[in-house]
Parts: sequence; structure tokens; C-alpha cells
Amino acid sequence: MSEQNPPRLEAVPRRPRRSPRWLAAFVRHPSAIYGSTVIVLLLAGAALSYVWTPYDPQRANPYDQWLAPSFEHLLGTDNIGRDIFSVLLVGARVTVGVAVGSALVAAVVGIGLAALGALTARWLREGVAVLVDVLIAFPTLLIAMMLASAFGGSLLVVVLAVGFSFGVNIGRVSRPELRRVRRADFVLAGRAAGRGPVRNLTTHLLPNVAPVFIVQLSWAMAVAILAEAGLSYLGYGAPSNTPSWGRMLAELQSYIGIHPWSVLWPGLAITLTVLAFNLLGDAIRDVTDPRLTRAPVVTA
Amino acid sequence: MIRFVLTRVVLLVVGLVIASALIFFTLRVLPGDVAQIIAGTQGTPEQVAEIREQLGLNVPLPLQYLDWIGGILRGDLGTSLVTGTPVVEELAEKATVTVPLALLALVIALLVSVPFGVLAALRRNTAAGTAFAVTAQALAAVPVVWAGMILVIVFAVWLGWLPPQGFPRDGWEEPGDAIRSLLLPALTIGVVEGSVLLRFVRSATLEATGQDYVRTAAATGLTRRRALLTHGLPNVALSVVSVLALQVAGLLVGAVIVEQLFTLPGVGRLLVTNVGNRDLEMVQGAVFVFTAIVLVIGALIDVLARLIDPRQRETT
Repeated sequence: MSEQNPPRLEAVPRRPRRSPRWLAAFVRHPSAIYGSTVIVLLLAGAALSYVWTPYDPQRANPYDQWLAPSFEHLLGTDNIGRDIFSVLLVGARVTVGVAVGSALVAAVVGIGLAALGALTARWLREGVAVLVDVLIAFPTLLIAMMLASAFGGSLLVVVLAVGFSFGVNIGRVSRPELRRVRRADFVLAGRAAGRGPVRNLTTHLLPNVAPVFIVQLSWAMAVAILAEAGLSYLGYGAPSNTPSWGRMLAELQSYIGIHPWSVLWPGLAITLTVLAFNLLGDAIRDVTDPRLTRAPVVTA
Repeated sequence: MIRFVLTRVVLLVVGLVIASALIFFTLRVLPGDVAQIIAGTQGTPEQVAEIREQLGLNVPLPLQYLDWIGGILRGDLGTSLVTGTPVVEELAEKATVTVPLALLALVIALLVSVPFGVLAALRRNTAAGTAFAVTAQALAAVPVVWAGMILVIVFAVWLGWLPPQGFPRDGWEEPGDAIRSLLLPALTIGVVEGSVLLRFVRSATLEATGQDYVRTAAATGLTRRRALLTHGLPNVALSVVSVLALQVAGLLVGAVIVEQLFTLPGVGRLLVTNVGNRDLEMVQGAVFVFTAIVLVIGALIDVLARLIDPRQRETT
């Protein structure tokens, strides 16, 4: 705190305006370009599937089994004659849903744990820190399987498991950030102005740790998509009447000896999407971390 | 140092207690009557009551928990609700597949990540260095299931070098056969986890290149590369070792999926089957062992990191 000049209250909370530079760096960042493009395509595909798909993704057609890719069936057909491209489009809905849902749960759990671990009384802080260290040892898949053994498998289980375990991660990563920001002058000013702890958290603390959060959430979405694939493959994710990329892998597995190409598409879709969220997270980190922006941006 | 180890051990014990409680109560508090499940849909209320009595389900939950903990301390994880065999026995049998699989995968992951990670950092401004980094980034996004399928297609279906799935019925009687059937699964986990690790190795090496002591060493007449290899790499090793703790979790999760894909009779497959059967005893035993392994290895790595890092040793 400056001793000579007590800061003017209204001037302090304003952050320096640097969003244009931030944005300029972002739109030129190759990872950001790739990530945003794929994510926009994913969202567009999922939205499109509600109004139009080339063929009915649910209808089996015994005469059209295992057709090779052609103009009629862009990516060919599967074991029961469904158009693979149509199933992929509809499967994108599950991907989007799982990614967004997991990120929401992760954000709530993460903010909660970080706030508890950074802003409360010492004994509670230390307790939460130990708890977080233990929770982080639970692999996502195990949490999901524990939930599945009690509730049965569903996409909700995937969302809860990924959201929870990544929330713990976020809590751990953003706790030091939050503790650092907590001592900043503008937070004290907020307190002096009569703001309660919760309001102070939402108006002053969270915006300042937001970049760290957004980066983590982007990575959480990548993990969520991978987890959906793994869990749906094991039979604990999407139910059998819901097309999902993970389920497609599970269904096509028995045929990889005879029709190896069919399994290419869902796997490729998952990989490209996961890569997009990973790279988007990297790009946001690169352009928002002040320690990194001054150094030349290292890509990939 | 001794004080540090003691604190770490206490933390580990606290961690194990919290983990066991979380596993136990999550599995109990959630809906689903185990006795009802065992009795099946045809079970009469009397049968259900009898099973409840047998399993000790009428005892209050905290007492059941203490009973379970007492069992763990005696090396007894309970008995499978479905097969009636002791959980420990069954886990030990399956571990003869999963442990070698995980170790083999770890070796492959290190072989992939360390040399290529360092190379990618040293050659970061060349096409080769960029290619390594980009490939690793892409491979780290590949779902383990799909990686496994592609390896099966290439090495089992097309080339016919390795068996596509399965494990010799007589286990390790023929070690050659056993290892051959573990190679593809281990390669699957190793390549995916190795790519994740590669990114850590690369950024740790990049960081080391910029350090003052490397520059100083270079100024004393060493070539930049020699300076980095002799002075920078120990620091890289240190950060890689601490990331390894997290990688153990990744390896185990990979094992669950890969054992299913390659139909290997390991702990992961056991877990998948029993989640399906709702065999709570078995699930909680297996999940606890998995989590305990991650926690114990995490503690060991913390101690190890302190042992090999002279800076940390002095600050105690």
C-alpha cells in the first residue's frame, strides 16, 4: 500500500485496458486459429444435426453395409448400413454437451475449492489443501467407474466425474493465484468500501484469475471428450440409443480386422477436437500470461 | 531430511484415510441395495434380509467402515460378493498382468519422451524439432482406445507380427508369449502417455537452456550443447521425476481401457467387470488399491526429488 498517496477508490478497481493487444496476439496465434476453427465447426455440426443430416443416423439399412466413401456417403457406411457422416454429426451433440457440462461442473468445484483454500481461516485453508492433494490422486476414470457402479453408466456420470476431478485440478492451480491477488490493493479497497467477502470475490478476485481459469477449462473440455470416448467405450457413458463418438469406436471395434477404415473417422474426430481444445488453452495461456507475452511466442 | 520424510509419511497416512473414507461412503451412501442386487429380481424379502445379515449390512455404516479399515490393516480387503473369493487374492492374481503391463508402458513412455523431448527443445528452430513437438501435441490428443485399434490394425492385422488380443492361458509359463501379448497394449499406453510426457520434457529443457548456470558453463569454454547436457539435464530430470507421479495415474487409467481392448485378464478388466456386476466389495478394493498406489508413488517421488536435489536438501 502506498503510504504517501492514499489511492482514489474509484480509480483503483479499473484494470488497464489492454484487451486489443491481447486480442491481436490471439487472432494471430496459429494454435488459436486452429482451435477456434475446429470448435466452431464442431458447434456448427452439432447444431446442423438437429435440422439436417444427409441420412437418418438411426436407421439401419441392410443393403448398404460397409459402403466405401463416395459422394453419396461421404465417409462410407457402417456395419448396419448407417451413414457414418450422419452418425458423426449427431454424435457431435454428445461431445459438445459433455464438454460444456464438465466445464461448468469443473468451474463450480474449482472456484469453490480455490476460494475455500485461499480466502478462509488458516485451519480450513490447510485442511482443504490436504484434501485437494488427496482428491487429485483419484484418476477421473476411477471416479466415473465408482459413480457408474452405484448409479449405472450415463453421460451425467461422465460429466460429474470429469467436472469434479478437473475442478480439483483447477482448485489446486488457481489457489496460489487467488492468494497472490488477495493481497492486492484493490481487494483491500473493496473491503474498505464495505464489500462482503462474496461480492469481493466476484467483482475483484475472480476477474483477475479468470485467464488461469479459462485456460484450465479449455483443457478440461479436452479431457472430458477423451473421457467420454473411454467411458462410452467401456459401456459406462452414452446409452446405446445415443450416437456418440466413443460408442462408435466401441461398436466398430469388432470389425477392425475386416473394415479397418471405418474406425478411422470417429477416432479422427475425437483427436482433432481434443487437439483443438488443448491448443486453444495453450493459446489463451500464451497471450494472457504476462511473463510469456514479452518473450517470442513459442508455438506448438 | 528425516523430519521431511516423517511429515510426508504422516500426510500419506492422512491421505490414505481420507481416500478410503471417500471410496467407502461414496459407494454406500449412493442408492442401490447390495443385498437386493445379490438376491436378484426373484429374491424374497426373507432372502434379502438374510443376505443383509450375512454381509453385515445391518451394522451402522461407520462401524462397517472401521471394520473394512481393520481388514485392510490386516491385509484383508473383504470377499467378492459375486464369486466369494477374497478380494486380495483376486487382485494379486490379476496384478501379474497389470504390473508388468504398466512397467513396460512406463519404459516405453520414457524412451519416447526423454530423447525426443530433449531433441525437440535443442532443435526447436529446425523443421525436425517442430515436427517432434507437433507430433507429440497431436498424439497426446489421441484417445487410448483408438491408438490401440490403430496399432492392432497395423501390427496384428496387416503385418501379423503380434497377437491382436488375449493373454496366454497359462500366464507366465511361457514368458516369451506373455511378453509378446503385452507388447501392443504397452505400446498403446506408452506412446500416448509418452507424448504427454514429451511436452513436459521439452518445456523443462527449454527452460534449462535459458538458465544462467548453463550460460556460465558455456562461457567457461564448453559448447552450448555440452553445457546443457552436463548442467541443464539434471534439472530437467528433476522436473520430469515430479511429473511422473501424475503419469502413474495416467498409466493405470490407460491399463483399464487397454486391458478391455486387448482382453487381458488384469486388474482393470476385473474392475470393469465388477462395476458391471455391482460387486461393491471388489470395486472398493480395486479402487482403493489403485488410489493407494498413486498416493504412495506420489510420496516416494516427493522424497526422491528432495534426495536428488541439493537445493531442496539444504532448505530443510
